[in-house]
Amino acid sequence: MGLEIPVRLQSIEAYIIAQHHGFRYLELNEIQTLDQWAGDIVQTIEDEWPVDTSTSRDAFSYTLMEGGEVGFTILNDVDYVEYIHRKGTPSIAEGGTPLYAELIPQVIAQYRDGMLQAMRDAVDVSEAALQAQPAPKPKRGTRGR
Amino acid sequence: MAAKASVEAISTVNFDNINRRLSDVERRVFTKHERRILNTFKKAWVGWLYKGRPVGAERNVSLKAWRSEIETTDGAHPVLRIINDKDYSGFVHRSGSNDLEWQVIWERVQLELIPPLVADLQRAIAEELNKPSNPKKLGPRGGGKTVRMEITL
Repeated sequence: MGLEIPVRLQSIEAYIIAQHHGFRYLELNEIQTLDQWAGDIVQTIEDEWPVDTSTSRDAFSYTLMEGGEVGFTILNDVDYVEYIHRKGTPSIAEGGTPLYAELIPQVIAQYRDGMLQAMRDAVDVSEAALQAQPAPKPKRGTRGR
Repeated sequence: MAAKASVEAISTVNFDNINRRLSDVERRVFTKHERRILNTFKKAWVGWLYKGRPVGAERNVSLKAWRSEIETTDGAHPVLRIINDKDYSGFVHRSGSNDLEWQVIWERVQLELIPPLVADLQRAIAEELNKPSNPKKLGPRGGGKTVRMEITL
């Protein structure tokens, strides 16, 4: 098995639409801001992950969403990762909670407010830059004589 | 059918004097360099011309796909992987150049960033070497279905 955890920032998607008066894709500074926060979140998950051999901890990675969605997807391709549980708690077979389902939302909650504010700030910076750009020149007519 | 090429650049370091996984301290040194190297790829992977792409179309798609993985279970041979799953990322080059961009960046990484990684890790290992740590059996990787849990903020 393995994990695939999309973390979608729908409130930022809505914020962009409100500020831009319509849909647009992320600008570079917004991508870089999101990437920084996603990296910090995954690093914290790794720091909190229990270690035996370090195989499952090493396998965490993330990519940023595309296609107009704002967010990132946390990945882990270790095939037993969903069975890992905290020491002293019931196993998953015994009805226990898998660690990923407990820890990842916790870490994201920890970063949530800061990340959303940083993203809104990045959107504001982008919007100011986009509005400062000169409007595209109308194409010269090609009317025949 | 057109040829496709994603990128997987792999660097393996040899420290034959350790017979265990990297300790937390050593691993932290490794991940610090991992992040620095991944950021080098991401910082360099901008400024494309997008010839023929309409105004308002999505940009920086392959930039979003850069990711990294490490393996520290076998402390003698820690592995760093820089990956881009976009099937055209392996072909991307700058206008006026035939050099593949990922190779240009990877060469720079190997020259400028791998040596300090090795030096820092060697130093960390030397400091940790006398601390006791049990060798562990390696766990399996990959295969099977993926569990999905969506989070919306």
